[in-house]
This record gives sequence, structure tokens and C-alpha cells, in this order.
Amino acid sequence: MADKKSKPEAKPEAKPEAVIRATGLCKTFVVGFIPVAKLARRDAREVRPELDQKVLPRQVEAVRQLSFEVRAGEIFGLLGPNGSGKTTTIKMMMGLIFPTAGKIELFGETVPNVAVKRRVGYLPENPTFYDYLRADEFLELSARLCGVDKKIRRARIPRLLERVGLTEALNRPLRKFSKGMLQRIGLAQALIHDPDLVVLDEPLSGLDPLGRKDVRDLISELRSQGKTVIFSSHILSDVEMICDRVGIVVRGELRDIGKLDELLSARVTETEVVLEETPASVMDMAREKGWSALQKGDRLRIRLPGETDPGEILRKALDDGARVVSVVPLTESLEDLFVREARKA
Amino acid sequence: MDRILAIAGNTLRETNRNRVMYVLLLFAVLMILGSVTMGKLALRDPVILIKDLGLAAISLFGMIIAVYLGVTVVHRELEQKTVYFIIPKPLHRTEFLLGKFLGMCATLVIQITVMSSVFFMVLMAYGAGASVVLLKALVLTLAEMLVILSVALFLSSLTGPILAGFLSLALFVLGRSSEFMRQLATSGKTGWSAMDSLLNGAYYVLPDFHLFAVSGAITQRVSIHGNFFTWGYVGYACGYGALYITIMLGLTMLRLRRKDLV
Repeated sequence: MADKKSKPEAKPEAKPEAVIRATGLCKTFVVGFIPVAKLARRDAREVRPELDQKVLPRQVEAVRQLSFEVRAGEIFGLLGPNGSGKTTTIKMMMGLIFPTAGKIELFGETVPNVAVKRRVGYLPENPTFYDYLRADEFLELSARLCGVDKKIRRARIPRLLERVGLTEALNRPLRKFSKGMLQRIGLAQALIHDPDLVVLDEPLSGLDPLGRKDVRDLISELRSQGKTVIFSSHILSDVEMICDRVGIVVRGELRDIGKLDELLSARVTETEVVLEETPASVMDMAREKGWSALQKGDRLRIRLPGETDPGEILRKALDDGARVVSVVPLTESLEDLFVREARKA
Repeated sequence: MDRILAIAGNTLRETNRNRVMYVLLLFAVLMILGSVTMGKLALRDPVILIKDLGLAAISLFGMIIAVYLGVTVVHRELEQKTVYFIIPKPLHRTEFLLGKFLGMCATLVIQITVMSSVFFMVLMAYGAGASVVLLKALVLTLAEMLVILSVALFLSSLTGPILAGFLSLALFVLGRSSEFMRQLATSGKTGWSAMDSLLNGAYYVLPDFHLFAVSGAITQRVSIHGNFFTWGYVGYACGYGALYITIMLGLTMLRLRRKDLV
């Protein structure tokens, strides 16, 4: 799917080099070697007489005709509900699985390619590492595998551990790490060879708010260093905060791609009026009009659909002695867009 | 090369921290020490029995350790998803496989060295000590273990670890019977030419573990192998082992090269 075009009157800008280019990417998994037996093993309740007639192995299309580009120096967010094909796409990018059709290029080279891998750092989803290794031993191994010079790695390992906040866990084996700490050491190993492209699969999952902020800051820092970052996430507020562009994948298909301000409608979807010390008459009026009204403590939140003029309810509220706390016109959020695309599918 | 060595070193560290290895080693040492008691019951020279039992213990437990390593080490990487950390690094899948194999080989060398040291200590207690013939026997045992390791590794790339383990043990038994299979095929005693061809084919395809079969009896020159137990023979057997290992690793690589690591 092509990017949504920017305003027609805008001068076309020179596009930076495409760091990632996926073209017609498809991935189909075959479930089971002997389909009926496999199904029986997975769930005995699913075994029905009609399954005997199935002669072909069951297939699951994880990714369908996915095409997109990520340009140098941008932060790209890959969004989608569970099982939408985000991780499968990333795994194809990293040479862990192979596309059934189409191709994926990193820095202009079809993957897997060892020379290209030198320029890529990767954090897998729910990372599991060698739990018998200490944090420093693990980073030492990562650096050796990436061909980092001994002198450089001696300097870089403590610096990275400090950057991800694990200096004090230097001598601790990874089996004693919490999920958040594993995520941090995973980030450190992805950056150990100073890659140009950083691929992060759900880097924010399992982190507390402080940890999420640290990771967000780290990603922004990578952008300021001129690196390209692609990451998948469910945490839409974080995506909204740091991404230059997003792609929404639903059921293996790319539903939307582009800059957030291009994707999100600027139209006011709702107007929220928040009142305090509100008499019952205001609530009654909101109900009569069919507006959503929610009383929480002293505050009453009324949501007016579309661009409905809030003047009428405000006048009523002020006349009846209520205090107006805020009137906020709401535009479409990333969550609205996400839900809309997911429901469409 | 540094990447292969890094993976090998990590594999060695992993296996050295595996308690199963220590349990197996303990049983092997107990069996070697137990040969002393058996030696006391011997009617003739107890050293013959100690050598027999000692070599048998090293061979048996070496084989169990080789099969265990072969079917679990790479499988564990796939199962625990640690492979997601390794494969995206700038290396080929071949380097990953070679690194794992070298690490397992190093583990086997250490295990057999420990078992042999205990064996030699027991012999020295009986005033026999180490000999070149025993050293040759141990070299052959190690070569045999490495072949079994490569076979188990290949089988684990095709199926789960339990089935791969059983198949490896079955191949070990068949491989040890290779000479018998060949004799049966050439003698025509089966009375069925198709069976003769099958046995003949199996003789050439299956690993010839009979080539590595040694026993303490060899040191007394009453081996069923006759008197070929020279360094030349050891070199020939090791060459055969190296060729078989190369083929097994090649097949494993073919299997892993385009495998989806889901």
C-alpha cells in the first residue's frame, strides 16, 4: 500500500533512502503434517467426521501482500492486534523465517545477508537469553558475535549497561533478571555493535511506566543519532509520542500507513464538557438529547457527538449554578484509528 | 572463525553448567571404580577385567552423553527461542551449527578425559598404568562418540529429542552390528536377494561403529579384530569418522538452512 499523499500544494521533498523495503510479502504456515492427527492433538473437540475428508494440510496465512518502506532516520511503528502478523513480518526481516512470496530488502539487499546483518540490531519479543550468563558475559558474547573489536567492546559494554540502567546488575546471572531487566539487557545487546537500523519487537511490553519512559527516551535518542528504528507495539500512547510514521497491520494485511497527522482525521469527533456542582436538571437535559453523561465524584462529563454546539448545555449549566471545568473538542486518536481498522477487517 | 569459537565457548559453558552431565559422569566413574570389585572376583588376571569394564564404562557413558548432547543442545536453542538472539547476528546458520558442534565436541573431550583419568588411576593402583594400546583405544572411543554426536544432531533436526534419542541409540546398535550385516548379506544365508541387497545397502549407509569397537581384551591381543590395532588403523577409523561427521553436518545444515525458526 502506498503512503497517503501529503497536501497537494506542498512541494515534493527528496525522499531519504529506503532502509527497509517489503514488496508483496506473504507468509503461509502449514499447520500439521497429517492434518487430522494434528488437529486431534491440538484440540480433541475439534475432531469432527468431516475433517476426514480434508486431504490437504491446513494453512494459515500470517502475512498477505505486505508492501511498505521505512526511510533512513525515521521511527516507524508497526501496529496491529494480536496475531495480525507484526512479529512474522519482523522475523522475515531478520532472516528467522522465510517469505512464501515477495521479498524484503534491508539497505537494498535481500535478506538474509550477513553484511546487512552487521548494520542491524534486533530485540525479539519476550526475549529469552542464556540465563546462566552474567549481564557482562552476555554482552561480551553479543559483541563477539557482531565482530566488535576487543578494545571497543571493553569500553562499550559498561557504557551500554549504564545507559539501560543495569550497571548494578553487572555481575548478576540473567536467570535472576525480572522481565523489565531482560527487556533492557535485550536492548543493550541490540545496540552493542552500534547498528544503523534497530528492529524492536514489542520493546515496551512488560515495562513499568518508568521503564517505558526510559525506552521511549532511548528510541528518541537513537533518532537523534541518525539511526532508523522500527518497532511493533500495542501501547498506542507511546507510539503516538515517538513515531514519525506508523503502519497498521490487521489479519496479515497492511491497512494503513503514513504520518500520524495524515492518518488521523482532524475533524472533531466529539466535544467533552466537564462540569462541577451540577444540578440534576443538566443531567436530565443531556439524557433527553441522547448525549453520553457520566457522573464521577463531583464531576459530570458530557460527550456531545461530532461538532454539536456546546453553547446550549453550557448556558443551562451556568444558569442552574454549575461550574464549567473544561470544554474540549476531541479529534480522532490513534486508538480510534486502530479500533476502526481492526473492526473493518 | 571468532564467531564460531564464541558459540563453541558458550556451548561448552552451557553444557558444563548442566547437572545431567555431572550425574552421567558420576555413574561412569562409579562403574570404573566398581570394576575393582569385579577384578577381585576374576579367576585370572584382574587387570584384564578392569580394562574391559573400564573401557566399556567410558564407551557406554560416552555414548549416552553424546546422544544426550546431540539431541538436546540445538533443540533447546529452538525451544527456548535463544536462537532469536543468535541468528539475527552477522553470521551464517552454518557458523551457528559448527559452533554448537565444536562446543559439544569440547564437552565430550573433557568428559572422556575425566573418565580416562579415573580409569588410569585405577589401573595404576593395580600396577598396570597407561599404555599406548589403551591410548589408541580411547582415541577410537572418542572418535566413535563424535560420530554418534553428529548422527544425533542430524536426527534432532528432523524430529523431537526423545524420538531422535531412541533412533540414535538404535543406529548405534545397528552400527555396531555392521560387520554382521555385511557377512549375512555376502553369505546369502537369508535366501532372499532383496534382503541381501538391503543389508548390504545398510552396511554402506549406516555408520560403521564396529570399526571403533574396542575392548580391554584387545590389549591382551585376543581381539576379534585380529592384530590390526595399529596407529594406521586408528588413523583409518578416524578418517572414516571425520568423513561421516562431515556428511552428517552437511545434511543437518541442509535441513537448517531454510528452516523457519518459529
